[in-house]
Amino acid sequence: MSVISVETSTLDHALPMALLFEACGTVTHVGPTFEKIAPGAVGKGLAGVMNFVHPQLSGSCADVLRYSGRKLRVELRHEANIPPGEGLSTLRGTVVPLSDRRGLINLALGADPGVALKRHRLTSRDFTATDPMVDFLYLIEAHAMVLSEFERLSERLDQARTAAEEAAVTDKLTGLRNRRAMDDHLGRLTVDAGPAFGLMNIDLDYFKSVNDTMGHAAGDRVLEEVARILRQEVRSGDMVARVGGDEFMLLFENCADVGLLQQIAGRIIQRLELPIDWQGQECRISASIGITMSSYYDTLDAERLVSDADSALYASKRAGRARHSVARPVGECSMEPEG
Amino acid sequence: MLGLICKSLEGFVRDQHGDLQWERIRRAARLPFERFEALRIYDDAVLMDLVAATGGVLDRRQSPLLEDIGHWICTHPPLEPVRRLIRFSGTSFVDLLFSLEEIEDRARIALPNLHLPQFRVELTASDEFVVTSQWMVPGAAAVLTGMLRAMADDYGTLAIIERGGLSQDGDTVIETISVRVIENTFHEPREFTLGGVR
Repeated sequence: MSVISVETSTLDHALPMALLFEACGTVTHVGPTFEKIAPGAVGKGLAGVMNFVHPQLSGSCADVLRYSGRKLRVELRHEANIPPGEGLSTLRGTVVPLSDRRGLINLALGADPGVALKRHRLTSRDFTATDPMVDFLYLIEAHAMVLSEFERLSERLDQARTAAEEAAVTDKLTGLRNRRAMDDHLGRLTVDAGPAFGLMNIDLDYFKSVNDTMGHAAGDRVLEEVARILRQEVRSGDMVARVGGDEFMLLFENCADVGLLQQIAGRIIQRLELPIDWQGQECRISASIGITMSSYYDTLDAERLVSDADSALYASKRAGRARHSVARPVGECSMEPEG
Repeated sequence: MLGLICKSLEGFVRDQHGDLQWERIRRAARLPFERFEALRIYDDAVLMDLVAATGGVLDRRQSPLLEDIGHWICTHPPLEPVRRLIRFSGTSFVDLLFSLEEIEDRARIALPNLHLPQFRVELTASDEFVVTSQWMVPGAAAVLTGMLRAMADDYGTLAIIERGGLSQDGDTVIETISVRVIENTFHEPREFTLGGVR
C-alpha cells in the first residue's frame, strides 16, 4: 500500500467542504466552504460540531470511523445565516479513515442545495472546478421558469374556456342566456325530477312594428330594455333566456305557486307597456305570456312543457294579446284577464 | 426553436417600448397570435420576420437593436436568474467567456428544444479572445455582444467587445466577436447571490 501525504492547502482545493479530526475527536482543520457555512469549528469536538442525523451517531471518533465509506446525513450545529423560523441545512458526508486513528469527513450539499446556496451566498468559487453544481443550477432555474410558464398557460386556458362557454350560452345583445342554455337547463331539471318549477313563455306584441317603423337600432334598444325588466322581475337564481328574435323564456326554480307566476306575468306586461324612449321617440310594445308548472305533470318531458307553455302563449295571442294564460296539460287552456 | 427566444424579444419590446409598439410589430410580422408561448415550438423563419418587423417599426438597425436586447436580458430585474446563472458560471469575466462553450449543453439538458447558439472561445493573445457563434439565423453575435458588455460591467471588468464578420456554412450562420480585456477588476463587481429561485 502506498501512502500519500497532502498539504491542507491542496486539500482545500480538492475538498473545500472537508473536515479533519484527531483520534480524540477534536477538529483540527476545515475546508474554506465548510468555514463559510459554519465558522469556528476548529478546536471543538466532533460531536459539538456535527449532528449525525442518519445514522444516529454519538460523534465519538471510534463511532464515526466505523461508518467509513457509508453515506451520512448530518447537520452543522453552528451553521451561520439561518433565517428566523428555519432549521439547519441537511448535508451529506462520507468518513475517510486516516493514519493514527485520525479521520476526514467530506461534506456535500444535500438533495436540495438551493437553501444552503442562498443562505451562505455560495458561488462557483466555493466548489471544486469540476463540481456539477452550476449545471444543477441551470436545471433549477429552468425548472422554475417552466413551472411558472405552465401556471400562466393554464390560467389563460381557463379564462379562454370560461369565455367560450359564456359565449356559447349567452345572447350577445341582451346578455341573457340563449335557447341552448335554456334547453340544457330545462333538460337537467326534467331528468332529475327535483323540486317543482314554473316555466313562462313570453312573446313581445307590436315589436315588429317598432322594428319596421323606427329601425333595428330602436328594436335593439327595446330588447335591451325588455331584458332589463325581465331580470328585475325574477329572483337572482331564476333563468331568463332570449330564445328567439322577440321571444323569451323564464324558468322559476323551487316554485309550485301558479298564482305567484300569474302575478309576475301581470307585472311584466304592465312594465313592458310603459313607453321606451329611443332618441326622443316613444316605442310602445306589450307581451303575451303562457305559463305552465312542472307540478301539472306525472312524468316530466322538456319538449312537452315548452309546447304547453307555447299553447298557453298562443291562447293569450288569440284572446287579443297583452295578457297571460296558464296551460292545462289535459288540453284546455284557461285564460286570465290582463294584468 | 422554442418560443422562449422570441418571447425574450417580445418582453424587451413590451418593457422598453410599450404594448402598443408590440401590437404594431406583431401586425407587421403577421403573427396570428397576441403573444409567444415560451414552451411552444415555432418555425425559425418566425424569428427572422420578427426581428425585421421590430427593426422596421422601431426604426432601428437590427444589430444595435439585438445588442440592446442582449444587454436588457442581463440587466432587466425579472430576468435576474439569467444574470445569476452567468455570474455563477464563472468567477471572473474571463471564466465566463470560457464557460460560453458549455452554454448550449447546459441549455439542452434543461430545455431540449431551446436551440441556443453554439459558442467557441479562442485565446488569441494574452488578453484577447475571439468568440465564434454558430446558429441557424444571424443575430447571435449581436445579442451576445450586448450580454457580454452588460456582464463585463457586472464583473467590474473593463473590456472592449466588438462584433466581427459573418459567414455562412450551409444552413449554419457563423459570426465572430472579438474581446479585449483591459482591466479585470476595473471597479467593484456588482453584488450577486445564488439560489434565489425561491
